Amino acid sequence: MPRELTLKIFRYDPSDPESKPCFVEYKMEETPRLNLFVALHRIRENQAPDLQFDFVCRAGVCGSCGMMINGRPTLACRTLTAELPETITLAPMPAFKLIGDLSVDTGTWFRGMSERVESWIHTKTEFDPEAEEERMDDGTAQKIYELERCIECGCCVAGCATANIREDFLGATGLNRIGRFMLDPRDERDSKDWFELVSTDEGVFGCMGLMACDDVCPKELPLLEVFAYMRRRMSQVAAGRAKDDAGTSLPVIN
Amino acid sequence: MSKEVTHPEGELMASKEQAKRQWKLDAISTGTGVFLAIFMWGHMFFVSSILTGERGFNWISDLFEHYWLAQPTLILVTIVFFVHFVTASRKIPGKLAERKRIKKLGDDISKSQWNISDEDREELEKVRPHKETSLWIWQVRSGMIILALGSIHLFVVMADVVQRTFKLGEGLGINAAETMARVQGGMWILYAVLLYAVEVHAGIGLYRVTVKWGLGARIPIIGSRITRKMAHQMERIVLWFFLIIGFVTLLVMAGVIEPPLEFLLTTDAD
Repeated sequence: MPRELTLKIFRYDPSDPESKPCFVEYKMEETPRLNLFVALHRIRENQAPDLQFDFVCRAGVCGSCGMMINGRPTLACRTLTAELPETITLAPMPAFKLIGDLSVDTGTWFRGMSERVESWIHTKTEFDPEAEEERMDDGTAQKIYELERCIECGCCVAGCATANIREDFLGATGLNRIGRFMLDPRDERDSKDWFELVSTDEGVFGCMGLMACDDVCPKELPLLEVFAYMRRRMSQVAAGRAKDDAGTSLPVIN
Repeated sequence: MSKEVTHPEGELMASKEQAKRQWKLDAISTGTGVFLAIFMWGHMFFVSSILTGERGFNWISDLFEHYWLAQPTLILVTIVFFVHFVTASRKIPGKLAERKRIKKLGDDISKSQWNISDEDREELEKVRPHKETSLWIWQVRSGMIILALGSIHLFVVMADVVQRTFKLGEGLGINAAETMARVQGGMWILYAVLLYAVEVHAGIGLYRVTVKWGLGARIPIIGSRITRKMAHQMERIVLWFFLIIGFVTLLVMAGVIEPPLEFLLTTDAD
């Protein structure tokens, strides 16, 4: 006997002055291996053609379908309804601008973060298209890749109480991005440059250690280890004992 | 990156200086917190001397006051206590709506329901249980209780020590008889609440400090790296250890039970 699911979905269209934020209930029969991606599409096809939500890859890679599922920020496409009770509450992620219903604008937030972090390789070396690319140590490349796996879904920001109450906080994903460039030997920013960016209240010392980012990250990035490493390294800078090891001592892969 | 920012006080402050200031504040709040936690362990150890009876307790308090150990420690701890309050409380959001937001988010994530068996839960990392945001709220609450009750406690102890040091009144200083009379006279409520608040506050605080600063670092001698799970287990052990010792000590002081270790200091001459 299949379960009858009740999906309580947050509905609100900020562009419509008539619209009032509310939760609307949709009922549907559960089918085997149903995930929320399919469930939401069924609701849009059969019950609410104007329901807004974001999806692209449906495989946990694009990071578009982050939403609050029963109060927890995670990816809808990777969530099977069988894992949830019969009543499922869906709300848009907080901390981002609401586009409508379950759809939020993570793009503007991430663009702003990238600009503040200056999320590109800073180098004075002139690019020579003819030259062979410089080789990178395999261990370093793997560490960078580990942090590069972030899909920018925004779950860590939505789950972070600090990011929820402070617009200027870089969030776990922003700090992780800094960690990624700290590791990169091609980036010529030194510890003192990083200090200005990381050591403020918007950076790692604004983090209250609530650890929600680590618990909700769908890609299971080693976020807390990166932050602990940053705190230790920034303390060395503040104490005037900075070692410019380009982050190679960061133990992101055990 | 060398942008200039306006300091709340109105003057321009280079971002580097501001960064250094934030680091300093965080380091001070962490350092004072760790100091107070370690002090509390020592404190608990010495107060629990009452478990060996009044004689053991008085011997230690006499020793501390006679050799001028209690006086400077008391002044230092009082200063550190308030410095910790000032630097740590800067993280508490000023607006009620913000504090409510933290609580709501923490509660929502920790209570989010997932219909999963415990075996599957181990594998499905996305339903990692989360309670640290709610614990932070409890850290703030316990901190406020400690600020109020701890101040009273510090004042009472200071009065005792001052009396003895400057030979005012009876000048007995910290002693078992007076302390027990005080506890039995109703102060046990204050001490029970304070004890619980301190252990919870210090437990959560040390767990958070370990995760914030130590994760991934190698433990000397053992060589393995510090993990969050490790920090959490340590916190549980330390919390229960001191809670149990603390409450047994309090029961002895309240006269509910006899000092269980009295035989250690009992001689045939008694």
